[in-house]
Amino acid sequence: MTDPQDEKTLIDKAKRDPAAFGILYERYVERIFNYIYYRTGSANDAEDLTGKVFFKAMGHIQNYRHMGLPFSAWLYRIAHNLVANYHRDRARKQEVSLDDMQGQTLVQTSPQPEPRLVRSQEVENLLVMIRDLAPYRQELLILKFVDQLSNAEIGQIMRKSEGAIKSLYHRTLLELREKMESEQE
Amino acid sequence: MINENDNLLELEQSLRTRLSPVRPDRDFVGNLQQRLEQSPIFQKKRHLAVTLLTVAGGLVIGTAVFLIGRELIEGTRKS
Repeated sequence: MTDPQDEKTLIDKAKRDPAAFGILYERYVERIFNYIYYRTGSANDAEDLTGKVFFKAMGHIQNYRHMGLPFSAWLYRIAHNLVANYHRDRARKQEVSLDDMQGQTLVQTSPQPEPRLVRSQEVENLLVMIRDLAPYRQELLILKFVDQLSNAEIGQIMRKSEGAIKSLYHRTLLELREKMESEQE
Repeated sequence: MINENDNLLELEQSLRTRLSPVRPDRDFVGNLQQRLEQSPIFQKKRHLAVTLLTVAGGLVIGTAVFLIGRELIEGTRKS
C-alpha cells in the first residue's frame, strides 16, 4: 500500500507536472488494465479503455479533492463507469445487428481470438460464469483476486463498509457455486 | 454446515489460483505514457501559466516604473 501523504504530494504535483502524472500512471496502469481486462474479456478493449481512464483522469485531476480515499479508488470509479458504458454500447449494437440480420441467412462468425493472452478452457469457463454475475459482484471478485485488495480497500472503492463487503463476498461465492453446480448437471 | 464451508473454501482457493493478474503489453504501457505526457492538456496549462506570469510581471514592472517616475517628478518639482 502506498503512503497517503506521499500520494497526496504526488497528486498535487501531477496537477501541473506531466512527469508526476506519469509516476501515478506507472503505479496504477497494471491494476486498472487488469480490472478492465477481466470485466471485458478482451485485451484490445482493455487497452483502449485503460487509455481512456488515464486521459479522463488527467483531464479532471485539477478537480480532484483528497477525501481520505486512495487515488486508486478514483481511478477504479472512472474505469467502472467506462466499463458500464462499454457493456451498454455493446448490448445496443447487438440489438441493432440482430434487427439487421432478420430475414437474412445467419452466418456464424467467430470473434477474433485474443492473440496475446491465451487462457485454458477451465479458466475461460469460470470467467464466463463470473461475467454472468451482477456487475458489482464481478467487480468485487476482480478486486479481491486479480488486484488482491483487502475488504477494507474494496469497501473504499465500492463505497461500502468492510462488513458489507464481507457479506457481499459470501453471497457472491454462494451464487457462483450455484452456477457452477447447475452447469455441471 | 462444515461441508458448505469446505465447499466455499475450495471455491475460494480455485478463484485464487485461476484469477491471476495479467501483464499488459509493455509497448502499450510505454506508448500510452508517452501520449499522456505529451498531451495538449498539459501544454495548454503551461501556456496559461506563462501568460499569467507575463501579465503579472508586466503589472509589477509597470507599477514600479510609475512609482519611481512619480517620485522623480515630485523630487524635481520640490527642488
